Amino acid sequence: MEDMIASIRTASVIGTHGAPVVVECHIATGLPGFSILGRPDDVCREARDRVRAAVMSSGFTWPSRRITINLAPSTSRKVGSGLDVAIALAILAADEQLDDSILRAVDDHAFVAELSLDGGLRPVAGVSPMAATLRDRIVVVASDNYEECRLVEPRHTRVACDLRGLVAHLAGLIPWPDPPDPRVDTTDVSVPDLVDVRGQNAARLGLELAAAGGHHLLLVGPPGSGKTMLAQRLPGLLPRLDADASLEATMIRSAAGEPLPRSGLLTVPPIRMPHHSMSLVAMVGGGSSALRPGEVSLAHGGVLFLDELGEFAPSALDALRQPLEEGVVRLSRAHSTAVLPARFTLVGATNPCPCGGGPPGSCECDEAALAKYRRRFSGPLLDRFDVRVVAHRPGADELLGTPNGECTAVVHARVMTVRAIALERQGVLNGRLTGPDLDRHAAVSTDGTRLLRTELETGRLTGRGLHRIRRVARTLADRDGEHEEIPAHHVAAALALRARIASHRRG
Amino acid sequence: MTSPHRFAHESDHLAVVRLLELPGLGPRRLLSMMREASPGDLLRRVESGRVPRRYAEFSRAWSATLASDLHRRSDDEIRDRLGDTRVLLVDDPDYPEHLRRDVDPPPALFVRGDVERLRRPGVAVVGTRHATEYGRAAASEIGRRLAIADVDVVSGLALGIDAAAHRGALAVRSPVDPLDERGDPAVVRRSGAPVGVVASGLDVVYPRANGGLWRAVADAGVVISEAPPGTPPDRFRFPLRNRIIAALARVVVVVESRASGGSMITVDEALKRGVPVMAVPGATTTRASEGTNRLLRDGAMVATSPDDVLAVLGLASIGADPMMRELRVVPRDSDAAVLSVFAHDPLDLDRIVAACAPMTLGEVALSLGRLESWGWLRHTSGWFERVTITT
Repeated sequence: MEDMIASIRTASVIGTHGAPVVVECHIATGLPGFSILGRPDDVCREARDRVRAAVMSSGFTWPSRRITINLAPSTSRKVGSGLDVAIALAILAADEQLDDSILRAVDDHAFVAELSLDGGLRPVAGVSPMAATLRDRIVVVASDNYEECRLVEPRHTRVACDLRGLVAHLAGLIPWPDPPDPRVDTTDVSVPDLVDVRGQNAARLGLELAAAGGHHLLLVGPPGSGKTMLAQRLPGLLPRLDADASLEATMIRSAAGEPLPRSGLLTVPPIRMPHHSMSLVAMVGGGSSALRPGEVSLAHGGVLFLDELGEFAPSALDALRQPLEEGVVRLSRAHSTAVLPARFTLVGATNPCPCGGGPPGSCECDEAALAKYRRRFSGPLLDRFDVRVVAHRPGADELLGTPNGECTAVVHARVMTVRAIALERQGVLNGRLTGPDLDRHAAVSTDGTRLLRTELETGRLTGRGLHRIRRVARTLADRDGEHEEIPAHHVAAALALRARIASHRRG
Repeated sequence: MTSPHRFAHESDHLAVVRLLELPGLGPRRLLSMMREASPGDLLRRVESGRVPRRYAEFSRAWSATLASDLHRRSDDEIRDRLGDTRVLLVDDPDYPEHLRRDVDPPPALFVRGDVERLRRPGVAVVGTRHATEYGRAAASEIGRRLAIADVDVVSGLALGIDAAAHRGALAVRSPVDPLDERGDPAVVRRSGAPVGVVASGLDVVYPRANGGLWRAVADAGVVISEAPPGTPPDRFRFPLRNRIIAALARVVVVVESRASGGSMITVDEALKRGVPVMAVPGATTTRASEGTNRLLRDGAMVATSPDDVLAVLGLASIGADPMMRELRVVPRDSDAAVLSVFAHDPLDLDRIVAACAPMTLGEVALSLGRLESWGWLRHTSGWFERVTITT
């Protein structure tokens, strides 16, 4: 018998980007065997056994000859089980179990799905980035992946239930099944509303500034002061994701294998709240050869909330530097590299001191414990946060008596105005103003300059701190409709919005 | 042989330093041994292992300690370490008489400053290290008024209340206003001085934040310790220190104290000695006043003002207070409005802004900044407190 070759299209995913893959199969005489070339990862290598079982239980025959699968291009890493169907079809084609009509049809298609042992098609993670590289083809996926695949608009999306059926559809013997009913878009994803927050005016202002100016926010307060509750309300203040951002965020989630919202596309800015015990890899991404996106990428376009900031491993916090400065995270591993988007608003939360703090006279900590706590919040870390507000445990008056504050919609409208002003004036949000741009767009009035000078001369403000204050003061002034020089009282307010951590006990 | 130091340190002084470093030889045991022999003799006995039978269990450890490298210091090294520190043995004529008659007197005192200050008992002003601005103000005011009335202020040189009391006392001795050429009557009149009783060696400043205060107290008054120079601030030394504070006091005033802590130990020591205890009442909501309020409930005398303390001492309050001149810039307009929001309780930014409506956060922040720089307010981790007096 002659040696036979077949090739089938599929894709793999590295980081958040898909890469097209051609599965080539060669069946030759010789000792029965099955090898996969082209740098498959462990999951992909296991396709050998899944595919064999699926082919046999679908009523095809398994060629007991020497089977060689090559995943081209052979230099890049292939990951995951999405190549299963393509491998199975390649083997069947090479073994001449498929008609010519099927072989012709296959050329137009690409296949992204896992096979179960009984031949069924299963959904896989990362379908949307993969389908995005196969836009000129008809992409066949498991029915659970249909919505996700359609988001990136390939030429056509088709679903199949199992391998046997898929072959029949390709042969034109049975029509392609109807796509699953679009999942009902339950009106809007519910976002917690600011109206639930009692009191906490300083923290509310902090949230508004973070949303309006793109400032990173640190919430300082004792346990029970509602830091998490406050942070959860920030995504509602941020602008909804536009079409591109939404697709990007959705693809990141898809690549990470995280469940997508019912409507498929992510429209509300995400909020990620990783626990402080997380590993460095979980924070920045990587790990498996797929270079899975980490928390910084999953928070892209939204909020990364780090509760108990001081408990995070210093290495994990240090890794935030690149995403905070460049908006991306670059992963380099021996086998592959990837650049993942990671632009987010960082919200940290911490106790004011190890014992949790409270009004003066209630702190339990000794000087050594305070010093240790301060060391954890090194200057460079605190420098990330333009706005540092204190959240207090609400008193009975606030819980019962105070009228509700503004709701998310009102604040959101203001946020959008301030963002528009900043973008029109300087092309970036106020939180990203640096150096000369700061001088040009955030000039401070004479009175305000005097205030800053005093702070600098008494050593209560550093050079870096000065930039932070000016950025925040710019946002405060924009919020109040003062678009020229920044008046002194906005400088004073910005100065008041920088809480200290574990401040020295007085003699 | 001439000593380069101000005080000729006799061999007994050097011997007592060596004895105090022996393990298991606390003040009480050393005192009873010193009733039998001079420190010099004691040291020789210990070195040769000829200690009384009741100390036999320690004998080997003591002679081993004395033979170890650490303790084989020359007399000159010890003299250098003592420097200007004066050593008073319990039978020394300069040793304070009322301390000698105490139930538990220190066998030796190490002294820096004016020994004369120890001749008469003072008033102990003690309290928590975790003080509020209210407590600091009260302690400082009591310290100041006592000093004006020529009463020495005994305290522990710790953070918080202790430091505030001493600062109050020190304020009386320093010229109020260097620009005021007339001089201040309070400086001319003889006034009380701070007496610091510390747990570590006199050359081991603890807490370090109080370094400046230690020097100021030694210059203006006196700092004493029963531990030789170089002794670290071991935990067990603080309760021992507190008994000396109680022994040196005619009255113990507790300004702020939690339910348990060093001040409560001082109170127990005072009660043991029949020294009256006074307490400054505080808000029932503050942890810092839990202990003092409990003392009041249990029958301590109330000190609502320095006058109450002076009354217990049988001293009349001095009518015109030469120190009570307001040196701070008097706030006006919006600043005055913001300051008027403050009573004794600390307030956070939210509540201040709410109380100052319709002022904006920015306007309030401007005023707060000014009031803080003028010394009317103090800002600690998100809380603002009104500062009552400046000392």
